[in-house]
Amino acid sequence: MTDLVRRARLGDDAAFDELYERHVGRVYALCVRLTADPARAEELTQDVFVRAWRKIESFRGESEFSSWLHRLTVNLVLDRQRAEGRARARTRPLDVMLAPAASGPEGARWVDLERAIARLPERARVALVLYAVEGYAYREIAEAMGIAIGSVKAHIHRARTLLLEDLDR
Amino acid sequence: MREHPSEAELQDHGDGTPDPSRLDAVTSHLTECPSCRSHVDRVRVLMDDLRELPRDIQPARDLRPTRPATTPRPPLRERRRRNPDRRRWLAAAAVLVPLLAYSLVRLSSGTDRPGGAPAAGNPEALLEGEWIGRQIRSYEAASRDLQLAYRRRRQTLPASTADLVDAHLATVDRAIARTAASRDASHGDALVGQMLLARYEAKVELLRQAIDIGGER
Repeated sequence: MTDLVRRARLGDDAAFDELYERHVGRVYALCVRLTADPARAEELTQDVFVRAWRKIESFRGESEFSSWLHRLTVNLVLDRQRAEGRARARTRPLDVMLAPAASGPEGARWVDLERAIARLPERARVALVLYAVEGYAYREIAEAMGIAIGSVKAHIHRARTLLLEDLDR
Repeated sequence: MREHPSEAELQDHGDGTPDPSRLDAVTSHLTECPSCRSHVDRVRVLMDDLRELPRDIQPARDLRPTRPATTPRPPLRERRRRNPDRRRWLAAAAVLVPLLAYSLVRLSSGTDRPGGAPAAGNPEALLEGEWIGRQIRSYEAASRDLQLAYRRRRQTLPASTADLVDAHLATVDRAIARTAASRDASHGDALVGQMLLARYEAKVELLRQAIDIGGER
């Protein structure tokens, strides 16, 4: 366990702020890709750090802090999606969140890809992001989403098919 | 192999996770079929692009949570473990101290508003109360929806498991009701609000685990 995490566990607010600075980009990226909604992703990112602040004492240092925070983020986003039961209307265009980083041909290429990911159906998008972007195994995705491994594979196949069609247009 | 492999087989091949029992057949087909070979290449490029997406995206605004300034985080578990009796004393104190303070304030001022309630002129306290209120509403909505999902899931659970979950839920619900009543009586005291949040969190977690029992719904 790093000294920063140890100090944050003991209630040092400055240490927790430093952890926020280091990890907010990663947490927000995950939230925005899983929800395809920048405003919703902001709410969830804030909630992730509130929960992390309240639960950090249960972090034992058996894994990296970033892995612990990543797991906490995925669980929170999937819990909320499960609780809401249906996709919420997007409140802000996705391009607002992508614009600052989309410079040059490389930037434009991944903006197209991010847009196509955002247009996927929710469960296909979640499965694909966890598998292809975040590097989860099928079994881990099945556990996180509460579905069978076969269903995870089906969601990923569907997502890839839709993405290829979308990018061809 | 004359027939084209299935779409799933081609995708798995492009993703580098082919079914070993079909590997030779699909590989041999790809050497003869430019169309399938091109499709596999497109899947391969897509997967590479997905893996290379930026890991970090900075949000447009500062999302640092406004942490309640007056509410310290609960003490570390290690500290509690050293003295198990201390936990019971803390629990008793958590109930008795606000009650005592409330009674003293009422006796001394003759008003209904205890000293710990968010005062109209204290913006920090108001902000904190608003934050807690928002969190509570969010937990209420989440637990309502999860409860509906649990009712469906309950029908497929063994009776003994369902009874156990129900008993735990009843305990958490009683604790929520008691804490919510205390929060009303204390005019939104922040510490009681935090206790209520912790109880809702326990309920949401319990429902989530109950829904996930067995790994599939």
